[in-house]
Amino acid sequence: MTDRNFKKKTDTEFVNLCSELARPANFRRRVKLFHHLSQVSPFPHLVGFSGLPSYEIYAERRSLVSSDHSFLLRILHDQLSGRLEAHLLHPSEHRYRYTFIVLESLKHEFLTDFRGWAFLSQIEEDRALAAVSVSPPAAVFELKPDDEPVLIFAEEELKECRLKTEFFSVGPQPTLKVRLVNLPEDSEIKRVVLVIDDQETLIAVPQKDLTFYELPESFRTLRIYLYE
Amino acid sequence: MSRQASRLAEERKVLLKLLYIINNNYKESDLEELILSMVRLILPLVRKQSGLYLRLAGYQPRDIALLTISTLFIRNKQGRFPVLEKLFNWKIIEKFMVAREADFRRYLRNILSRRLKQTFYYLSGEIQPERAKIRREILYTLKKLPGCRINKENGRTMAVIQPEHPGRTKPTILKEDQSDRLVEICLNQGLGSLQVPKFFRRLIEVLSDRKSPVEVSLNTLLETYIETQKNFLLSEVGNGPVTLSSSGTGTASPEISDLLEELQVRNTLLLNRYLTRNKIRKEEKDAYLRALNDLFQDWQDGGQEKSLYEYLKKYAPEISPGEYRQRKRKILEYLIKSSRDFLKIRLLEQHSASGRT
Repeated sequence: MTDRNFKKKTDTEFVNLCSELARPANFRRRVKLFHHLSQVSPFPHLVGFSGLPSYEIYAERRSLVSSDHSFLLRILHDQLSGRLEAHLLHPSEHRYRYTFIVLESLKHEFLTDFRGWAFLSQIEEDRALAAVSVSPPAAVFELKPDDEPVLIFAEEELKECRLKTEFFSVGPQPTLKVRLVNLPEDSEIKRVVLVIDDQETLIAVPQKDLTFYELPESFRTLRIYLYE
Repeated sequence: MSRQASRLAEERKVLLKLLYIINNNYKESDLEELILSMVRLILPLVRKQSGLYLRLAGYQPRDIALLTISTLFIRNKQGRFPVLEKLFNWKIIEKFMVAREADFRRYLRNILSRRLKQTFYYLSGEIQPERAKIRREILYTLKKLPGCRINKENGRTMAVIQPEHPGRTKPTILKEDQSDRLVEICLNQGLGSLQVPKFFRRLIEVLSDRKSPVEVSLNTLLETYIETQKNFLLSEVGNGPVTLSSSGTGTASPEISDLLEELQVRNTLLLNRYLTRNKIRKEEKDAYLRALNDLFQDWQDGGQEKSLYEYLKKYAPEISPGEYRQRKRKILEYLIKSSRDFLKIRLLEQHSASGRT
């Protein structure tokens, strides 16, 4: 390879690396959803209790299911706030909590909260919901101050994966350094999500299997979610 | 277009992209371009700063650049970038929209440089200084510097730094466990951030001014250099220290507050060293810091109000007067002396700088 070609290749790699920080993740572990033709919700009570009967608050726009019917994604219109919400359901909590909902045609991803809900911004429904997939976490760790991270859930391939964490407190806010260790060779973690006390969510793109998070001054529990 | 003009254009582009982001009105391509521009701006800084004492081990400069920049682009659930938007909030961007481009360039470089130091600090456990290479560089520098002589004693390489008055004063032999004194001198004289040749030229000048020739082993000089750079890096990291108590710094001016914050970082480092040598217990470190914090607060409010023992006892009630006299007083007094000297020098510097402008 000539010097010029090598430089060109290196520059392209470099630009690609920078772009990865901006682009939506191309998750390897994702489940495609298909439109469910029945508009009648089998679980009207699952939209949550807000003091009003659910049918008065929400209008169900669409529902999507996975091919094995384990995932159910309901797109609801909140009549009170006027916004669209996505409610994801699955028998296992690790599949609907903090799961990415990817609107592939828009190249946009939304992260659900601990209830499996995500607030969608102003989207053009028909186009946005043409191709939808979900990407649940591949591993979940819990971290308490002065403690080691504990693996609480992992897909089979990531059972041996570990996190090395370190706190730094030179600035006004403590910083958490997270290093992914013992990953299988063919595994690439595309996103690392930190959930602080089930309130604040920070989504990072790891570089060299490393991420740094600036934390609030006090917190009780941190959960770290890895996505392939 | 000249190189400077194109650099300014790059920074103008950064400013516009930042504006789109804080207005939440950006496209993916804006974000990509912003990241690329920032990485390009930080790369020369990585090369420059890593030359200080760090050889980057398994990391390439671009890895360090990407790691640094990636921390700015951590999103929250709303798709916003809290760290980036804190550093470049609307007020700041608005100001730079009407300011000279060079002003924004300075601000941006300052932010990126600080973030880079933070990255180095977070990686400090992984990136080790290449001691052999630095040692060779020191030896080479010392051999060339006037006022410096290299001796071999029992297989050890000793450097005699005896500027200007050879033979008049016998050099003080600094043992390895006394290297703290040299580190203190180097830090107080602002020798952090200097590369090896400049660092030792300045050190010889300082020792010459003090008329204090020393004989010191090359290993001690190596450790002094590395420790000074580490301490400098640490003192530069972050926007301020950990808040130790709710008392804060009261009504202090921003300049004094900044100095006190810097001082706390320095004292934390000094105490860490006492801790690693088992001279203080882990829980005592916090007590010393809090006691010093109270004392600095009193200095601002008119002066020391009680005995040093009482300052410390408030946070470490288990320390008896006897134990304090035997083991603790020396440490506390050293910390206070070092803090006072540091404040004196920095305030004089600020004073002379403001006198010049």
